[in-house]
Amino acid sequence: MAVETIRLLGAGARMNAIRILRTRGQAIAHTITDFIWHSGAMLAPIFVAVRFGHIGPWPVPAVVFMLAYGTVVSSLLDALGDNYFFISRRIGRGQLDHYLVQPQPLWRILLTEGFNPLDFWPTLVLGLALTAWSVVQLRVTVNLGWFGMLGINLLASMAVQTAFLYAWGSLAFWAPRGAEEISSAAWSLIGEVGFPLDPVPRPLRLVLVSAVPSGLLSWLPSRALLHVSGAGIVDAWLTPVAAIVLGAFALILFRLGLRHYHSTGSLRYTDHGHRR
Amino acid sequence: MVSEVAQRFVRAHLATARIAAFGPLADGPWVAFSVALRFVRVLILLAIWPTLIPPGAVVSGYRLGAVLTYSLVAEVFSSQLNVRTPIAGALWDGAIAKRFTWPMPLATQYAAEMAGDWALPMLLVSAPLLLLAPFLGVNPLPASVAHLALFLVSLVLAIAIGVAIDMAYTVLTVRIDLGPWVLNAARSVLQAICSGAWVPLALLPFHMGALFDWLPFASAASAPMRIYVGTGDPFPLLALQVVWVIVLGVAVRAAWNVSREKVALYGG
Repeated sequence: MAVETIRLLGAGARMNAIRILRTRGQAIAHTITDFIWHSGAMLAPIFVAVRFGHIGPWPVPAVVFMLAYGTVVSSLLDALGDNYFFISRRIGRGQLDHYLVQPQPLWRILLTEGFNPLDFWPTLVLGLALTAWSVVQLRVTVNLGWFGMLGINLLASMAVQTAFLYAWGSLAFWAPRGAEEISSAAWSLIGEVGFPLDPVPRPLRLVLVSAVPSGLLSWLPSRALLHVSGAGIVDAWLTPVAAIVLGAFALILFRLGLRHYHSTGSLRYTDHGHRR
Repeated sequence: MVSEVAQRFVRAHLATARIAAFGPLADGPWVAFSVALRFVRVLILLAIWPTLIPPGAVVSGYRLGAVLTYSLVAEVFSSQLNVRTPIAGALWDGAIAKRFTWPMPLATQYAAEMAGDWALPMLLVSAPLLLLAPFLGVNPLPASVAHLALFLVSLVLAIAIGVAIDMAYTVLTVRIDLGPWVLNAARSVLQAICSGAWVPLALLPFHMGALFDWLPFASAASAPMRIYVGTGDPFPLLALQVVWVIVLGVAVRAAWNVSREKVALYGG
């Protein structure tokens, strides 16, 4: 099982390399703009932090850590392809049929399709470099346990984002036209947080770590890992627990939708093949 | 005869705007996502500022109240301060092909469509935000009645500059022959930092705002906002906006005329 998954990931990486080598100019342009997009998204909050020396209880290096952590999460997810981002479109347009006829389990196709590790390494390196810089600046006590928690939280943040988009995307099983683009719309909602949420009123903060879990993608894990004022000992486990709960919820929804799809098929096409 | 042509011109653009205004309703309840997104964004900013600027303090000419007003009103007019016509998407999906046959200039027909797109967000986000402002601890009123009048003039100029910038990006997209989202990513970053639509330019570090103030991005967003909150002298700001409207209008028109033959459509 693992061997086949790794083989498919390898095939994705190979195709990624071939595409870059065959379209050098365009590939470079794509990589540069992706880099500008991801790194530039960090700039505005960093500028505000630099201007004032802090944002709430967060000194500048802590703000940099939070944003770099978010960049690592998003670049790793981007490297895994865009299925999580477009899952509602895949379902809504009946493209799921393309997966169901393949001699692979659905989970493996969704995990490996579009794997493009060579496109996002500049952004990933930037995120990791800024993470390391801020850890040094903040004199965080780094040991194996801390690295373990960092890794667990990074995986958990990725799982939270994927689960959130799959949960919303599953609606396309029942509303294939209306919810066709709901995953990307949900992404724009969840990916908005660029500031530490400590000063935000408690009710909104609760929403941002539960119903719209933007805060779990960088703010809450960073707060726990850096022991920012107000962070408790259990905070480092909140994102992993949330990932399990949200992941289970998304899985149940997706399986229910898939069962529905198995009985109805795609409703988007007329008998003549035109999209409704 | 001339007035009849002018009337037809105006009617065609109004009809385009009217059709576009009802477009988002076709998406059904999912339109609520973008509404929620904008509320979340402004609520976070309104919560952040009081932790940075103590009451009574003045930072680079801004008191806390002025910054809160700036942030709230910038969100109210976010579509107008960050102009995006649908032309880039139309280049990619091929819809622009049909638009060449419409009896209207390409830029103004897409500008009319964009103006129609503003209607629903105005109703669902901008108006409620203004009404809720006192409950959020923000005074949404302009510095004075005169500032409000000058703000409206400046906003019209800002939109004109925004359309010109949008067309400039379109020309660039055509020239380098890449998907519109490629350039869009860099553009979003550039404008988020340089325009002042998000954070007042004077509050950027290293006096970067003093440089950005002279760029067209600032004339498309920062200028009207500074007039509204009364942190900028209106007449130099308006004069610079007029200069950018003329310069960009002429330059982008010329660039489009030599690039339109290079438009490549993909469809899909």
